[in-house]
Amino acid sequence: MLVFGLNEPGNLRIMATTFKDGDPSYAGALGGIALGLKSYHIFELKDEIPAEVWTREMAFKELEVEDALIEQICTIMREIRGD
Amino acid sequence: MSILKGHKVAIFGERDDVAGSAVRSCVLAAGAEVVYETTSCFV
Amino acid sequence: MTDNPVIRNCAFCLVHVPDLVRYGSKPRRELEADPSLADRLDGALRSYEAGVGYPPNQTFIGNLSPQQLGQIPRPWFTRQSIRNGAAAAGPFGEIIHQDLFYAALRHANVLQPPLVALTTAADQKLERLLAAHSVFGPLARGAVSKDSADFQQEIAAGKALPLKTGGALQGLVRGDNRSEGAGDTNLDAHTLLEALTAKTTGALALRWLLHREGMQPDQVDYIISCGEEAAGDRYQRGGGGVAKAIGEMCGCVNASGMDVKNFCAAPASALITAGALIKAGLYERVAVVAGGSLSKLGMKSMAFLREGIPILDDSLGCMAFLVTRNDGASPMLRLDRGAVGKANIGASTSDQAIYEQLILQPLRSLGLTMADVDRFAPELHNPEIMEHSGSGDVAHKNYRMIAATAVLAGEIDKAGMSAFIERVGMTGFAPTQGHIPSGVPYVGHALAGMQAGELSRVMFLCKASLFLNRLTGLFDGVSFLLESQKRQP
Repeated sequence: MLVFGLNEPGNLRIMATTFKDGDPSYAGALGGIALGLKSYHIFELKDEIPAEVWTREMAFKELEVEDALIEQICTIMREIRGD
Repeated sequence: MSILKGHKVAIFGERDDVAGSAVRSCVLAAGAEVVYETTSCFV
Repeated sequence: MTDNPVIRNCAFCLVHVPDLVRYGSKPRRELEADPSLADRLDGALRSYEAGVGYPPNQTFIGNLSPQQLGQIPRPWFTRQSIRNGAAAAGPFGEIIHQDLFYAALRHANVLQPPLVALTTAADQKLERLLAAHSVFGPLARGAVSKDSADFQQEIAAGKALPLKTGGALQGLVRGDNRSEGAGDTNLDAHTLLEALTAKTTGALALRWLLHREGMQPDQVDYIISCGEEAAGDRYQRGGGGVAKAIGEMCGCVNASGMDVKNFCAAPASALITAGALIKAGLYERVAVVAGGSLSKLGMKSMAFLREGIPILDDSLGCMAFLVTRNDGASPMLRLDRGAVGKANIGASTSDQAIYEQLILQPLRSLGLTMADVDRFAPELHNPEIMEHSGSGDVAHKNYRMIAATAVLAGEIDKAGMSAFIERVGMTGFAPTQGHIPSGVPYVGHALAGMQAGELSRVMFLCKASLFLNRLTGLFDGVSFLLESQKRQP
């Protein structure tokens, strides 16, 4: 599985889709090759991470990144996984 | 069912977003194994 | 406090080199994979006039403030016309034409046979241009009288790279093809062009600094270079000597120098080091210089081509700063104990820990809070370039980190972050040239603002991705405070 720390929605879409279904532009090594791998963004995995580790590594990031963007990221990732 | 525990993870970080090292610390603490890690920086 | 050094002057230039975009790392690799790309690339290049009129470029040389730039609606790249009255020169420096750069590049060569050669016609024309320039004239040394060899043959044999203007051949750049250089990939034409470009653009910035200060080259005591290029052969790949090369080219006969390496944070490290040398009483007038990165030209060109917009990363940035003993008037570098922000190796790589060390600790050591800082200058990349290429607004992201630090310090709450950024922030305007956009492009504006009594205190925040050397996973951060001497202590 993949875990992303990048926050640009466009890049997330392309990468998550490529790892699951193959390169959407059909160019490159993964054109037409579906690896079927699931992608998550680290923001989605808060409940999985021990609280003290999350606080130390990610609490600052949660402040930094606009709430609307965090939501957008989580929505995109869920969509691509087909959850 | 844990999403991370016991799984092999490839990490793609971004310097001005979330760095690979931060993601690594998190997923290791959740019991995952990191098999690939990169942090991009194109500035 | 009174023995703190000052930043007395600075210069910022942009060297507009559309015909060198093909030698940037990304375009070069793309062209090797698909040579048919050349026409599309050429078709997307901007004219000199377009480069001059481009608002972020005008901000870089000081004709616009970052605040004024922020008021101009985007897209900025449509607003590029010299008819709008944009001048090629500004208070901090100028936007330099490719012809002048080629002329200066030839003078950067020290080898025989030369690494840079121009056709006879180009040589005479470009040398006249250089000699006539009010700032760069002293770099001229006369046209080379030799007949130009059969350049096309050398280029076709892969021993040299063409220097063109549009389709027309002006000259070439060779690798070191002597026996001691042949076969050494560190001395091939591409690598040497990168190094020569760094030297030449650094020299152009230093010339502007001397011009702006009304100073003779022989009055410089010491030179520190802080660019990111390596220079050296197979046995000493990153040996350095760039500062001395730049100083030699500019006639700084009384100066010695060294190169400071710290990725993008090198300008901050270099300014602090320059100040420390002065504070220690070793030198009196230290020039900190940085040439541009040829490798980063056209880094985002594929994105620009996809979007059908001009190639905006077509210019090399270069800059120079004059650090001296306290003159009682210029803005002061706070080099009191604890006043410089850093990121210790032992600090967690979490942003929280880094920003505490970078921002809060140095302020606390001076009895200050973030509220006492008028402006923060972090990485100031042009958002138009960064957003079109999928990196997002890097300057804004850095301001979010600074604001998050203020929340952490209990100075503001989460809801106050936007207002805080409004107060202390600015729009990015510098090109994607690594060490160039890293905080210090604001120095010119800060000096002007302090001179005008509009600003008292600015914190410069430079970050470095040390992990790019593959030797460490660390990030670095360096911060320093610049304070007006017009304020009440």
